Amino acid sequence: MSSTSTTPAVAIEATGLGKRYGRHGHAALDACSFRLPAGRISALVGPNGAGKSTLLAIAAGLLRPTSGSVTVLGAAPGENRDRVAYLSQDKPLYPQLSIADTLRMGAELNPGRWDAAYASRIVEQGDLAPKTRVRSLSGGQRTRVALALALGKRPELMLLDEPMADLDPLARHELMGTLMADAAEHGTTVLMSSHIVAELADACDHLLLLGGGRIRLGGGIDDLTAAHSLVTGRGTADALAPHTVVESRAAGRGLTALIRRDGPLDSAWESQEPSLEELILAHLRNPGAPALITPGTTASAAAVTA
Amino acid sequence: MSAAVLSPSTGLTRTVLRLHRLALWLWAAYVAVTATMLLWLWGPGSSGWHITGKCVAGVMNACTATGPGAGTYTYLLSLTTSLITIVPAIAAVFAGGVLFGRELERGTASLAWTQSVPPARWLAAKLALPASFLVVGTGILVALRRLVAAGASGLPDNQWFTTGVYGALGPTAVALPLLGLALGALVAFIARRVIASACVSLAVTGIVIAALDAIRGRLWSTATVTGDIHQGYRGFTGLLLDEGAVTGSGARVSDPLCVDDANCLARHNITGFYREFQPASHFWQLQLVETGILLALTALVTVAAFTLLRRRTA
Repeated sequence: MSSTSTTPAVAIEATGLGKRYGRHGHAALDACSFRLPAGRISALVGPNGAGKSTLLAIAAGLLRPTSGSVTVLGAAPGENRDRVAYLSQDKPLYPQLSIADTLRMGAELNPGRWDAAYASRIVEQGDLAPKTRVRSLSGGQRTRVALALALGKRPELMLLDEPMADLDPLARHELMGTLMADAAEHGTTVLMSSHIVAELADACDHLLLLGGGRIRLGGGIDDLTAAHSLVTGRGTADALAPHTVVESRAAGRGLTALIRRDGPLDSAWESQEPSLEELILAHLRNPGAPALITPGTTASAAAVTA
Repeated sequence: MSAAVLSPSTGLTRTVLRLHRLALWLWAAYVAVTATMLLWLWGPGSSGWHITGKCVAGVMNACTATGPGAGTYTYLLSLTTSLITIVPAIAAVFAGGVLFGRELERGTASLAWTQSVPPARWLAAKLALPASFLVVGTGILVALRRLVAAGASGLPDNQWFTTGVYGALGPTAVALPLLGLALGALVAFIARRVIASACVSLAVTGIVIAALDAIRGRLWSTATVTGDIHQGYRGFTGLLLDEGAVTGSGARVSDPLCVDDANCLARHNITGFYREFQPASHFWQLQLVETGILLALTALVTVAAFTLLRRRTA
């Protein structure tokens, strides 16, 4: 226990991770390998059914993978339950409990870690009376209580599955602010899935794009956007070789393309750095584009053989 | 592990108790009401009536309670007997429905597993706490029901071999709810739905009860009484298992229903009639063997539930 209590440099490392539902069912994850460095706030994006929820549930120790391995804070998932927070998409809570009882449960189930003042502050910011029963809360209010329950244990790693999906824009902004301020202050690692790219662009500094059960794009957001260019000019997609064309479309008599550069770009092309949204959308629309995982996000060889 | 799980000071224990506060109060009320009725039957209810008829020997008891208080006495006696014998069904429905099925359907089980509680410890607490309340409650009721039975032991409703009474008088009444509880957990882990788990747990528990009813007579060595053709079927005290005719070769055959027709008896070569039964004195032997079977099944089902949980979660 004492050897793992120091924050490891790697928050999550997955090697050849696979998860199949049912014996002949479809594979939600298929040979998924990546490394999430500690301290990053990472956006987990991908189309519906790409395996985002499965990946988060495996990391939280709720699901056992069918193949491959994963370490969370340096140990098998479930070994460090006290240091990992998880918020599932449907935010289950006990409807018969009051908010105060729900938070008391958090204190009882996380002995020695629970920050009662912090948890109740998150609830109070939403103008929620502690005596209110969970069953009478709206969707957004439930999210707030679920988030208080997840954050009250002061986790080192937060696994959040669509955390803000049913919040109004104001509450979303405010809770995201709370979350990010906390993460920044304590160096918490966050892996957060979302469909709202704008929300992620503000908050995250790292990206994991899942498609077909594996990572299509992984790394620091700045590194990833810098590796790509949004180019316009006259010519065909073939003229862009040796660069990798992720996506191209006709624009007037010319061409607009999002490319992954390989060497310097011909000055005949007008070039600019793509936004995170453009980068993600181009990859989502073109699942056949080759994967790019930056060295810091690549699972180590040691982990592969382990 | 179980010591840590059961300790009242652990947060998990307090959380489980708080989550199932209503069920706990309902169970306490159920036990209190049934126990009150049993105490009345043992005390004030035992006077105001008397037994008429012959209570010993015979195929069945032929004695009944008569007198001004007899109606209330026999009514409450059969009611309390039923209340004790349906506890296994209640335990199965509760475990399959509220205790586990609802947690898995709503996903609230994962709420506990993503706090600092490993799933196996969660399951242990969710089984051990209700189990201890069930054991205490059914233990009290069975002890009181035995007191009542001892107070008027000749009455058919107080004798174990009378239909429906056996399950309220001994340790099987304590063990069977535990099996219902474990079955509820296992079924809920497979079905993951409240209604489906509650119904299937109830059905499986019912099948176990019916199967035990069917094999009970064979769990211990039986006794047989045989009468010649003049004596006919002879009386006994106990649980009837089988009866029929005996032929000249000693073989047991079904009764050809000749009654007193000597020609008919001769034609079928009938020389007598037999009855096979469990004597009244075999009560504890049967109870202990059956309790052993129930506890072994409970252990098996519990191990299966833990294995399933371990295979699913990390």
